[in-house]
Amino acid sequence: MKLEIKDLHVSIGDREILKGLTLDLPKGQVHAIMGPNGSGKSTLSKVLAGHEDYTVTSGTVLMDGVDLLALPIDQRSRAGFFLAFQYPMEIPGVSNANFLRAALQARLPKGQPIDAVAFYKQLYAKMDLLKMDRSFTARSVNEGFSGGEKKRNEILQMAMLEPKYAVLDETDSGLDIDALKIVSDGVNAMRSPERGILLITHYQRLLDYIKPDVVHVMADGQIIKSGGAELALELEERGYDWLTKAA
Amino acid sequence: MSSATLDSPAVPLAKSVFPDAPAWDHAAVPAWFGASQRAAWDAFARLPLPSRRDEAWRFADLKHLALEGYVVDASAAAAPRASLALLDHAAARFVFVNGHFQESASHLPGGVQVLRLAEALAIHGDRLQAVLQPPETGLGSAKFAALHHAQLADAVVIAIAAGQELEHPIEIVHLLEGPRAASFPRTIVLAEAKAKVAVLEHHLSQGPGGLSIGAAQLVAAEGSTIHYALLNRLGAGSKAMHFSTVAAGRDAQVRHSLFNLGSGWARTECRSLLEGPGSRSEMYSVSLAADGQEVDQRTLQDHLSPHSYSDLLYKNVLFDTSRTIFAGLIKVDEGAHGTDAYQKCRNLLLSDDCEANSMPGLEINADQVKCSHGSTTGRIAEDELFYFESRGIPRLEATRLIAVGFAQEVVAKIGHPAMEALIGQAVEERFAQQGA
Repeated sequence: MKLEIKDLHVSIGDREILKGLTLDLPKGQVHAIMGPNGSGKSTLSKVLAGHEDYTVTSGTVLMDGVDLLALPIDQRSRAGFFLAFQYPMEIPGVSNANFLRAALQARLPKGQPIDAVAFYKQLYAKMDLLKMDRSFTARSVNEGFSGGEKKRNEILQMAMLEPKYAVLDETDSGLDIDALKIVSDGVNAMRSPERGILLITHYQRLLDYIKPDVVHVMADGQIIKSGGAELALELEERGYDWLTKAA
Repeated sequence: MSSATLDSPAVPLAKSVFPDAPAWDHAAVPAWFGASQRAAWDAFARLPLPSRRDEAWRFADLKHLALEGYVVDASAAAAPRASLALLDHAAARFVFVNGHFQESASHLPGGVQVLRLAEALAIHGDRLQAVLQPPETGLGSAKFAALHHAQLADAVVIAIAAGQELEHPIEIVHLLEGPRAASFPRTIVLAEAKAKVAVLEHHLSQGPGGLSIGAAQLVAAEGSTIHYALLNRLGAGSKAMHFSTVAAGRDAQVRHSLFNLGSGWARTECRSLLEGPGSRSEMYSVSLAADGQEVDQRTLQDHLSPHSYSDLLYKNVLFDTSRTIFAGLIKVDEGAHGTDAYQKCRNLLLSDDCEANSMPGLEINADQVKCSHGSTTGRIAEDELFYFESRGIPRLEATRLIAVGFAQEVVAKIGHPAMEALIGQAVEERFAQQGA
């Protein structure tokens, strides 16, 4: 059981951004992708979620054997894929609770109403874990949230939707140390043999709090090196140049 | 008594209709009131129909002004058939069908001065003369304001004594029954110093058609507060016009909200007069237009005193081949220094064939003024839809949630929980009916 990305080529317009990316994320593991700006990290996350600006020219992505790229965006989510956005959208007028309710309702058979009591019980438990005030249930999705609150809200959504595979796109950016710790605790609480997590990050700092099983280095649309957690430390010390030049 | 017909205003209505129209004995009311109705009738006959060149009717489809064949039903109409979605608690409730008061469905407790027109004239008499005139807003519909006044057979007059605060809103229901029925709802709210009152007015149909030409006059004395909301859920084949005048005295606060969820054609005019220093006026509106509906709204925020504040937010959601028109003016008169005035119209387009017209305007004749006005028109951003879809919410449901959210943002400004709940529910139902 794994998320299996094989020789993925992706373009935006005429420009190729992913140039044959291959990566296996087995269930039960946490992987990290690090790499310099413009290496294609965010493109990877958006392509997996199904963003229409990107064209997959070749390659495959299988999620537990299912062709992820053949599914419409909403079906990918319901099949168990999750993307924590680098820049979460603000949705005026739609409360956080209604947003999550709609997402969970979409997972139920048509006509089956959601159990509101169980929903709020679960929601409050997850919010407590992320140290989010109850007032966030009634507030419009991400509207007027601080950077850290938005990222916490992404992890709250992940906790409520319980995906099989989650990609966290620079969830650490813009977080102060306290927020980083809370968000990391939230992610660590979701580590499970039933779930694969892929962290996309610039900084080794996040990996002090969420220990990855594997670290991949991405440059120019490909994975150029993979290793254990110690690879992140080496990157922190030496930068990316020694790798990109060698490649 | 027989029914009377309203002829086409292009051929001025037969004057012989007039004596039949008001359902009461003019001998029993003050002479000035009878005279005002007769003068209004003359004015209606005399004033020309709006033309294409008329700025106040720019972008409007004038075919909606054909008012042939509507009937002033002088006989008592049937009691309400529909089960009405009303407030759980109302300080008082008036129900009218085709302009006829329905005593059994109404609820008029003592202690609150909420009166029908005849009682109000009997008690307040000449004190009403200043407000009981044609409800002209100066925004284009003088002819139809005159028709409204001439046809007036009843009204709701709410007079809140100084310092009195009502816990629950006063609720007024106007039902149109029958495809050619005409109704002329009139609501007058007089809040004396430091009084506080909320009014919810429903316009509903028991059939597909009908004509409603209504008016509201909100007069807020020093330090008083009036919250008024009009919920239009008339049938899709009906036409609705509504004229509001707000007059806010020193430090008074008036909130005027319109929710156009029904009627095939709606024209609203709202004029806010900031008469007293420190007065506040808020004007809100949500319109949901579908099929070939046209919603045409004209507003004026007129600052006559220093340090007054006004805010306007009108939102339109457009489906299918619907059209909306917004024309608003902020006018800051000489001497109205320290004015704060804002005006915003926002249009959400949900089809390729709809059309939103916005004409925001400013006219400033004073110093030290903070004003802004603007209009935005657009579709739902792809990135917003992507965010919803990435959480497993289908695109159609995402569109519905975003559009409902766009509208509910205004509902949340009503400022009265029970009214917000009821109107919020009506908005949800209207969207559900749209299948969006």
